[in-house]
Amino acid sequence: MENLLFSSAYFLYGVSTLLSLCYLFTKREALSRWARGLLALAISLHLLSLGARCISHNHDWSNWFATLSLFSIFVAALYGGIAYFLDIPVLGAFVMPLPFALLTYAWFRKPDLEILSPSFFRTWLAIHIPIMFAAYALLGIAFSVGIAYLIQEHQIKTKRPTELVYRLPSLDELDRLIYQLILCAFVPLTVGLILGGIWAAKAWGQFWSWDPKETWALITWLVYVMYFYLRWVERWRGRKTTYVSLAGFVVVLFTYAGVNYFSPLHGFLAGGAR
Amino acid sequence: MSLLVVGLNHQTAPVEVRERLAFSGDRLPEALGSVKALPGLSETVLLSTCNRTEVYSRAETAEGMRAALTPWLQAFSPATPLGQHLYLHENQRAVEHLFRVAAGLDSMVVGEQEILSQVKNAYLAAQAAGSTGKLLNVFFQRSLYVGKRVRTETGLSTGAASVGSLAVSMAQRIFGDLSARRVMILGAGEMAKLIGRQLLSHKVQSVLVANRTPKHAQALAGYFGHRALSFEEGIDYIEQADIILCSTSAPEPVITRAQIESLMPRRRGRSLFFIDIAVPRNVHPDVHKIDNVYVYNIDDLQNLVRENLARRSDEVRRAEAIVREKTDEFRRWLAAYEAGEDHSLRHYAAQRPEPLGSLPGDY
Repeated sequence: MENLLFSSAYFLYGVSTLLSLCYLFTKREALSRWARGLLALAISLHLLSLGARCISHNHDWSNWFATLSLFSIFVAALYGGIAYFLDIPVLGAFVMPLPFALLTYAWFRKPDLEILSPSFFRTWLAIHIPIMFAAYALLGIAFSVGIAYLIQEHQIKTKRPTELVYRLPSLDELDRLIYQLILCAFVPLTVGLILGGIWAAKAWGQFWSWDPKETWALITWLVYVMYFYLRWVERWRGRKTTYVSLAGFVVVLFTYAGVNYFSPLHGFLAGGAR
Repeated sequence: MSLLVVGLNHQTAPVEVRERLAFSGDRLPEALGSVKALPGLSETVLLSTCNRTEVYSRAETAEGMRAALTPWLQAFSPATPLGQHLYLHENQRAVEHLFRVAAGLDSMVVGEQEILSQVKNAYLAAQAAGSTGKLLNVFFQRSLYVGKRVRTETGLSTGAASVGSLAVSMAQRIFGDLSARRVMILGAGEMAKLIGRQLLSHKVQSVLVANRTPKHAQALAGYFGHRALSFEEGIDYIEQADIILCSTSAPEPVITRAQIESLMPRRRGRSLFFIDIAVPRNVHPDVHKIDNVYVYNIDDLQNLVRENLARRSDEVRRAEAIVREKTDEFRRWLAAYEAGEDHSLRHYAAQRPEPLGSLPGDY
């Protein structure tokens, strides 16, 4: 049942992504309406599959499949909310490929062995992980909007505007949106980091142990601190701060995925759970 | 009974003729009243813009309508015979004509937006004067639909078609909503006034004018409702303004890279847009290289306008196809309507010509 729900959600995400991309290059409003409708449906099915998983796996988030699934539903749902409230349907073409790519990866990870981590203090883990992914999802959306910003900025700067210039929001709106997204992400990012520490203190007896995962989580956090510093103190705006936000998300991805192969404590994603 | 249009436009008549037949403002209800009294016309809409004057009508015969309308129009232009300037289209061709007009395909600047509201206003005025009936109601509402459809589904109206509207649309691409933006005009030329006025119509917060000759600045500043700045005050004001319109006759650039670079931190990184319509240029080209600063000079703007117009003409064929399809639909509706059937237009939209291969049955 969980698999069927997940597969249907995955399929619908794919169609919605495709429609969003088509919408960017054509002017058919119907495409955008369908993309949104299918996205809502996909999120609902995805949520059900996650719910089913929660019950069958007792809130265990510590494997590739579950985290990818969690990551992508956060991106999709948060984007859905933003698209609904801000009414910027063209951004779908930039944001939607992200959850779709994450889920494609999850799809290939499906046969993963389900490794159950120690069952004690699971409550902390069940909170720590979703909070981190809420932050990562917002940062991922900021990354996608950043790409849109760079395309828009490039076209205006080189004085070669194409049709796309008239489809995308203005530079100021995109820049502000990126800033607001990072501001919103920074709260769960900080809270998640602290909760992770508390969980670590209870599970391993140490708040901070300079494990590569922890180090990189701190680096991620510092990149975004730098983003705010440059914006607030150095008064940077636009292209340069957007580069920082793009770099930030690359670090996020490394913290999430790359580090697992080096981390003795957080290595569960690579199969070496402790 | 037939559907007819008699009129002249920018292609068939020079401005000296068109201006005499322009029924704007107060003249329109009066003209509508007198045209309604003509024999043989049962429904009438009078469409009059600076590029065209057309009478759409439902009449017994084309000959009858021409006989009634030609002298009526001629009366407004006693000195010049109108005969060679007038065109008359009947039924299907009249339908196609109005649909093309509403789509902007018959306009001087292809795809322009204004004509659609002009068609709408002409229709509303006629309706208010009680000179439309079922046929022209359906016909004009349909033309508005076709005009809108062509604009959303083709690129016929995309991209600004004049230097002023292009400057405004680039400002919108940079700032989004312009209502909190401050504009400054450096120099006081006619062109600057024109673009300033266009920006003002987008509800910019303020338009200030700075000029070396205080007299000119005051005249223009008064026009925009603000006090004039001296040239030096103007240069200082760049720190606060968002859009700077340059049109001074200075022989050398008056705005340099070093100058703007030093003021950007005080602007807190806010974007700055220079529209430099002066020749020789007022803004040094290197200013464009500064982050968040954009300089568009007159050549940039003109090149983009030219590209937009070329792109529009590429879209003409797609627009014509929509117009033809809708004309055909309407023609079928019209035939049925005249025969006494009363279906909605949608009924005819469904009847697409079937491709030969898919004909059902054995034959």
